[in-house]
Amino acid sequence: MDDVSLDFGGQVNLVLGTNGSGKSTLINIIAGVTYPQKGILTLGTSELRSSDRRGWRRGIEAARAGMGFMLDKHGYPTYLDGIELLEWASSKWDADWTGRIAQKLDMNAFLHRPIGGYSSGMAQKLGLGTSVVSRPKVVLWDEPTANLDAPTRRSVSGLIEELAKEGTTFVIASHTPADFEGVADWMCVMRLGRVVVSGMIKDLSAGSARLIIESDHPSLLAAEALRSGLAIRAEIRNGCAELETRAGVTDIGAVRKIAGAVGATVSSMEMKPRSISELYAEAIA
Amino acid sequence: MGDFLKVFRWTYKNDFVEPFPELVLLLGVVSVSSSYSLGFDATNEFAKLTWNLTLLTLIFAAIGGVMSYSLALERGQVTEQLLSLRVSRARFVALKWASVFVILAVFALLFDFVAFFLYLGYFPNLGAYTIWGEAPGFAFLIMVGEQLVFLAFLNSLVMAVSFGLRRTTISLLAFLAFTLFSAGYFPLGSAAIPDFLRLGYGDYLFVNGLSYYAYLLFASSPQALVSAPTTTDYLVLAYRAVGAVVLFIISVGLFVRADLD
Repeated sequence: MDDVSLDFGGQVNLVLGTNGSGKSTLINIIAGVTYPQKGILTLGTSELRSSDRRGWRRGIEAARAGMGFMLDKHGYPTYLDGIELLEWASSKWDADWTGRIAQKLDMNAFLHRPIGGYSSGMAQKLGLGTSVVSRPKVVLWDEPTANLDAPTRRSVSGLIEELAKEGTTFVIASHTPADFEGVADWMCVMRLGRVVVSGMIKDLSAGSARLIIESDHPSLLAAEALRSGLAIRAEIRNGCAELETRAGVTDIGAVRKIAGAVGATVSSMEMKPRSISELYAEAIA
Repeated sequence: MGDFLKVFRWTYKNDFVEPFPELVLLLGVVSVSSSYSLGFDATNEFAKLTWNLTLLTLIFAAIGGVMSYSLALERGQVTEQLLSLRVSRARFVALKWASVFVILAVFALLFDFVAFFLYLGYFPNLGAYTIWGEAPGFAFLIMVGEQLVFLAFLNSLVMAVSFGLRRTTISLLAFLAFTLFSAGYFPLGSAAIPDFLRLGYGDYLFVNGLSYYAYLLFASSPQALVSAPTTTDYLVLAYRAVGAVVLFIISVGLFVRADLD
């Protein structure tokens, strides 16, 4: 990582980036697994400086009590049962809460078997479970949805929403932003160890808008929107013209004007905020 | 106590796994049933047994130690334990050290009992001991006590080597090279290397001397005064006890500075 400066301002913070962009290193530094060569980390009210290695370590260890972790490289015990690892990670055993996590992540079928026999997906579910079993204030996840099937990915989103409502803050490193659409409220994109873009998702997506226009001549409408400068990008999808416009250019009047110019009729228009996946794709392009 | 039990459970169930039990069983049976001793001109059966148990203890500590420290580090299991337990690095090292120590001690004591019963017929045959035949409990208790200090030294040594080198095979070889050399391959009576540094022999010297002294004290013998432990006896103990503490502190220092990714 080089010259990375971030302020996790959301409840569910997403760190996106391609392979080798530095996401895992960032998570490992916050978790206290590795030390940075240079930098400052602020956890709550504590400011930790890399020049004071002892202070850095103590600060992170003090904060660790309220944290839950799931790192990219697992080191799960192969001879313990899944339920034993959940007990291990639980600071105070809560059978109801553990049962809810097990049900939500669909773990009940294998929790009483040795972890060594788990598939990667099962191990991933167990890792997610152990990271939240003690109801931490802050959860650090590195690639939480890797190896998971579609229903479990949805369950993970549900789990994030439930815990976020209770006040848990998430820092999630991932390269699959689609898994966190509608859940994350802050994001940053890293590339080759540097931050390309960061901020609240609503602010980032407000920089432009996407108009989906139903028309009898979508191709003509799209071409005219590009020519006139109304749209930055335009494409035809599902028979509709999808226009990406600059911020503020979302009024129906402007669209009707270019439609009239090409003799097209607009039957409906919808404005969609840009998705995390779109923001990510744009940032790494 | 709760954290200790958690680490102990993980260590016992997940670190001391195959091939540890199989090797321990094999080497234990071979060692205890063999009359071979490590080149030391044994004065009696007790000395031979001490040698054999020393060798066995070194192998216990070597295999169990590298599996719990080095191998667990390589597999990321140490990081997992540290993070999911949410304790400081120094506290984790202490908990792990204590867990490995308890397991090694239980194994070693188990073999002590088996060896004394099967190999020497110790308890049924008090006449096997010319010196301690009247007070076998002293010899045994002092031997066990000394063995625990010896185990603490070995545990700290294997931990320091594992955290320092961070490669299982290299750590195992380094530990065995040092301990086996110390146990049998440097000459006795050398001015350059004191005898008490020789693992096993130094332990034997200490147990032998202190047992005799304890027996004489117990029997209120006037010879007790002249048989009191010498500086060398205390050096034997200091080397192991202080060594255990120093190596433990080194291990903590290495671990708290280490990148664990």
